[in-house]
Amino acid sequence: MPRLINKLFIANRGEIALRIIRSCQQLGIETVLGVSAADQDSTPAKHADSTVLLGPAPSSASYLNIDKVISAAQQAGADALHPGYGFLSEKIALAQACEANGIVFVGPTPAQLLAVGDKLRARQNAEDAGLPLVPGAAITNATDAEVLARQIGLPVLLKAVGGGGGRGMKVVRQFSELASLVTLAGAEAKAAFADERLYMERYIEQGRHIEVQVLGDGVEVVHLGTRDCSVQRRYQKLIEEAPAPALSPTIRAAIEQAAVTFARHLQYRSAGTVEFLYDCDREAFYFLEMNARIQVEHPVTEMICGVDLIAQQIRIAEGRPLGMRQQDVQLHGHSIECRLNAEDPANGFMPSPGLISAASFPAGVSVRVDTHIESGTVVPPNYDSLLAKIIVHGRDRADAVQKMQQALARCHVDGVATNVALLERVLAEPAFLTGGVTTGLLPVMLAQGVN
Amino acid sequence: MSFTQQDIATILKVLDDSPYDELRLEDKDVSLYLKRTPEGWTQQQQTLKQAQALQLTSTSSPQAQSAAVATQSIVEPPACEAGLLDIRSSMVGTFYRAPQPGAAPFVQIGSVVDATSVIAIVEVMKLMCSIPAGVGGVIREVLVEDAQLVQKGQLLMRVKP
Repeated sequence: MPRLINKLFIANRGEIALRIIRSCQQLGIETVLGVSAADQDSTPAKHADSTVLLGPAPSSASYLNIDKVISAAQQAGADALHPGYGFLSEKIALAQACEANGIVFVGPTPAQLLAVGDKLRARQNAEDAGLPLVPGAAITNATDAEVLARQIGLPVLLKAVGGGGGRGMKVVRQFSELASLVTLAGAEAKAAFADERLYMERYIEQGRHIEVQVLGDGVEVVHLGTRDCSVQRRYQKLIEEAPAPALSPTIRAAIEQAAVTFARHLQYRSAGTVEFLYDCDREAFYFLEMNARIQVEHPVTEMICGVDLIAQQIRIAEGRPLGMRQQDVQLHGHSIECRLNAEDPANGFMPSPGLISAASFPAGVSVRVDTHIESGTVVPPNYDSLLAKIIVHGRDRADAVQKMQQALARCHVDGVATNVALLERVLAEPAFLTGGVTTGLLPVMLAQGVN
Repeated sequence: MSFTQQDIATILKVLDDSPYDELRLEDKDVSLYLKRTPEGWTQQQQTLKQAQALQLTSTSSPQAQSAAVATQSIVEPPACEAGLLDIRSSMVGTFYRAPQPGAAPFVQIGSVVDATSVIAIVEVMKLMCSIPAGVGGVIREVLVEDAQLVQKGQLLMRVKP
C-alpha cells in the first residue's frame, strides 16, 4: 500500500536542499528544512515552507546529529525525511531512527545501506553478484607477493589493509624492487596503522571513473545510462558528463548490465549509483563501490533522460512501483556538469568562505544552474565549498562542450575565490575535447602549472 | 612599521588617482589588501600582526564595508608578560587543539616549539590545515578554546622566545 508523503523534512543544506525543495514544489509536497544557526537566512531557508533550527553552525552539532534531526522532523510533523548527499545520507542509524519513529526515509533500506556501506562488505556482495573486481588478494611475505604479482601482471599496487585515503600505497613496476617494497610497505603500515597486513592489486595505469545511475523499487531495477567523472583531484570530482564518452557499445552495455545485476542482487530500493573503474589499456571494467544516495552529479543524467531523480526517490519511498520499464528510458544528446567551488586553485586550492558580494549565472534553454548562492549570500567556513553546479545539454558532446564554454564565461562570482578559470582551462584542453580522459588528466595539468 | 589612520587615507588618495584596481601590502607587522569595486575601495583583509587598534574608515559605502567580512575586530587581552611573540591563524575556520577528538593537544602551556611545530589545526570547508608555530620558544598563553571559529589573523597563542 503506498503511503503518501505530505510533508517532507530535508536533512541537508546548500544546493541539494534547494534542489529537493524544487521537486517537492512540483509534487505538491510541503517542505521543512532543518537548518544550523549559520544557515537560517540561506537561500534554501527562504524557499522552504518552514524551517527548524537544528543547532549551532558546526556540522557535528547540527546536520550530523541524528537525535536533533529526528526530533526536528517530529516537531515539524513531517511524515518523511530526505537526507540529500553527504552528512547523514548513508548512515544506517538515521534510516533506522526514521523507521523507529514512523518517518519514511527517502532512500534505501538500512540493510541495503549496510550491504554497500563498508568497502569489504560491498566487494563481497559484488563478488557474490558476479561482478568483475580489480584482481588482487592479501599477501603475507615477499615470496607469495611475487607469486601473486606474476599472476596479476605488473604494475601492482601495495595497500595497507588497515589504511585508507591513499596513505601507505606503493606502486611496484619491476620484480627486482618487489621484495624491498613489500618490506617497506609492511613497516610503514605497521607504523601508521598498527597493522602490517598488506593487500596487493593490479595497478590501473590509465583508469577512467565510470558510473551507472540505477532506480529500483525493491523488485524491479532500471538503469539510466552511464556517467563519466574522470576529471578529479584527490578523489574529488570536478567535471561530470553523461553518457560516458568514448566507450564501445559492447563495453557500455556490459557496464550498464553489471550495475543492474548488482542492484537486483541487493533488491535495491531508491536511486543509487554503481561506480566502476575502467581500465583503458585492457578495455576492462571493475566494480568500485555503490553510492546508496542521490549524487552531486545526478543532473547530467536528468538532462539526457528527462527523469526527475528526486521525484523518483520520493515516489519509490511512498511505496509505489517504478513508473518506467527499461525500454521506456530513452537517452537524448549529451550533458556536462562543472562544479564551481569556493576555492583558489592558484593558492593550493585553499577554501575561500565569505560574503558573495555579487553573483550572476548563465541561463537559457539548454543551461541549468543548481545553486544556493546569490548576491549577499554568506558562505560559511563550516561546510563544503560547492557554490554552484553549471549544467548544460547539447545535441552531441561537441555541442555540449561549446555550450559549457559559453556558460562558464557567463559565471561571475565576486567576494570569494572560485575555480572558474581552472574549469575553463579543462574545457579548452585538447584531451578533454577529444573525450574519454583518464583520472590522470587534472593532476597532470596541475603539475604542469595550470591553475 | 605601524599604520595610522592618516597613512591609510593617504594610500587611498594615491590609489584613487592611480590606474590600479588592487593593492596588496605586506610587511612584518601589517598586511593590507584593498580592491576597487563599483562601491568604492573594499578592504578584503586587514591583518594586524601586532595588537594595535586601527580602524579603517575610507570613502567606502556601507555595502563595501559589509563586504569586508574577513575583518572583524577581536579584542586581544594584554600579554601576561613582556616580550612574547604571537601565533596567529593564517585562515578563517574552526580551531582544533588536537589531531582528533579525545587525542592529546598538539601543545600546552609550557610546551617547547620551534618554527615548524604544529600547534593546532584549523578546519575550513572540510579541509584540515596545520598551523605551524612560525616562531620558536615556550608556549605561555593559549587564547582560543577548542572547536571555536577563528578569523584570519586572529591571535591564537603567545610564545616566550
